[in-house]
Amino acid sequence: MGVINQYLQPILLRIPENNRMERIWKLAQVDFKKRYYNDRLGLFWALLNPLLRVAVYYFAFTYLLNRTGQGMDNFALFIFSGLLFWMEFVQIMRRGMKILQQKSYLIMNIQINKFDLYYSLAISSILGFIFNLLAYFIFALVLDIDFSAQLLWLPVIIFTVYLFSLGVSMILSIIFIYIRDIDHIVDIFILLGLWTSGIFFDPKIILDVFPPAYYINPFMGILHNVRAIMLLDSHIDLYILVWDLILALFIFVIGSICIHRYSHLAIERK
Amino acid sequence: MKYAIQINNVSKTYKTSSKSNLTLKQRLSGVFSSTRTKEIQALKNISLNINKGETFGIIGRNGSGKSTLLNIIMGSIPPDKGGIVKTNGKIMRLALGLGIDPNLSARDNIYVNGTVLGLSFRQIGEIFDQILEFSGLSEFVDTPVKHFSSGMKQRLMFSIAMHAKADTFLLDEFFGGTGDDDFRKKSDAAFQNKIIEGNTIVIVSHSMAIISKYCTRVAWIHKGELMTIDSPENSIKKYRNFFAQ
Repeated sequence: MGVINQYLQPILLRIPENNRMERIWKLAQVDFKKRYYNDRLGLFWALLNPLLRVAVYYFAFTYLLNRTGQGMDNFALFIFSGLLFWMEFVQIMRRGMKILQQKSYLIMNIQINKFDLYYSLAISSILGFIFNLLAYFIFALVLDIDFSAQLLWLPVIIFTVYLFSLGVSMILSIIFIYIRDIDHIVDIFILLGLWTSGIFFDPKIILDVFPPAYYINPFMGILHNVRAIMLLDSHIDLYILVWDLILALFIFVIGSICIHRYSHLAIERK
Repeated sequence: MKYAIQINNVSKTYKTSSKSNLTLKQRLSGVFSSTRTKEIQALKNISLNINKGETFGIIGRNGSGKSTLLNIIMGSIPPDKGGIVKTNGKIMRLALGLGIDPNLSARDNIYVNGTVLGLSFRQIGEIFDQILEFSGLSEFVDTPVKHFSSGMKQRLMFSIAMHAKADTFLLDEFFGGTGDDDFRKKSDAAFQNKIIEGNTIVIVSHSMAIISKYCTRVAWIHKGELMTIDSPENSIKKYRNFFAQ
């Protein structure tokens, strides 16, 4: 975090003092710190962990399962790119789901905007995500993957994933107030999503059987576009990019309405 | 007269059902059973005004509705329909133990709690040494708070809270005079100078000594009803007489 601060501090000092923004940043920073600094390796682990993971995929799929030469030459990167975005969604959803209870001391003691809790969660997650992304590109460069200007669409895809993840976590936060063991159902949906989003195989297998899946499960389109620009050096599907963004925005708006109307119940039913 | 807080006709009803907080399994197995709902009226038509710069006390036994009232003033829960709460300026609730994260160092806790208490990074930087010096924890600045004794944690939290920025403070059993003898004297004076003076204060406490010492008016709440608003002497007298009978 010291390294991040070193580069961010000059920028932060130029921004006019704003307690709300600084509070969001500090909460995100502390959350990130707690996740990585409890380990002895600290921030180094944030980069080392995904690098080791992708290395394991590479050796497993290249040498043990011999999946090269079957239309997917970089199967390790194919899986890693899928998991990268899927796991980001899962961890935001899981952590966001209980945030109203975990941070209730803030809601009760200062006039904090409840959305700020979700924004700090998103910022803290993105700090970790940057390391995962870095690990991906290091490995991709080692494997001689080409990238084009299409990569400039990546921020839009990341924005879509965060918008969708935050929306889902807000909706689940409210359900969690009523049903405390919703985790079990969420686990099933995560498993379902893991196998129906095209993380481990080409989504065409599902789309041949059920074409509307492309529009129902936003991760199918997201992962299609991620691989197009991060792995296959081809063009993104602009139509599905816009569709997923609209879908994510819709879920985010629904989540925001839920938080606005029902989040006080997290304090009342504490 | 300018009001810091205006509360008009505020009631709060908690609805509990026999199916609230059930697990998924219990909900599914009881899908055809009837739901018994129960209403608990935590506050009943409370109206009161707290003047700007006033130190106002709220007394009442456990479960009388004091915390619900504070939550409604803070805006963390809404009142029932028809109730109106108007606040002027920034409000903050101070309670000992608020927000200290045991896994973080004293330094990080000062920054996190500083922003939570309304300070900018620059302001925290300016008073950082003062906070440490006041708490007497300068040599433990980078030690995780989990290694602190409860007294040290209390000193740290109190020292940070002394610099909170708000127009109105709701003090929930939070006051000076905590810790060992030395710190007690110091914190009592700091509490008087930095929190009480110049701010609007609402003190919620079971300590009648604290209420008498600081408050100019005191509200007594019993089972959600406002029993009286009077001088500290009169309110405490009515409160004691009621329970003596």
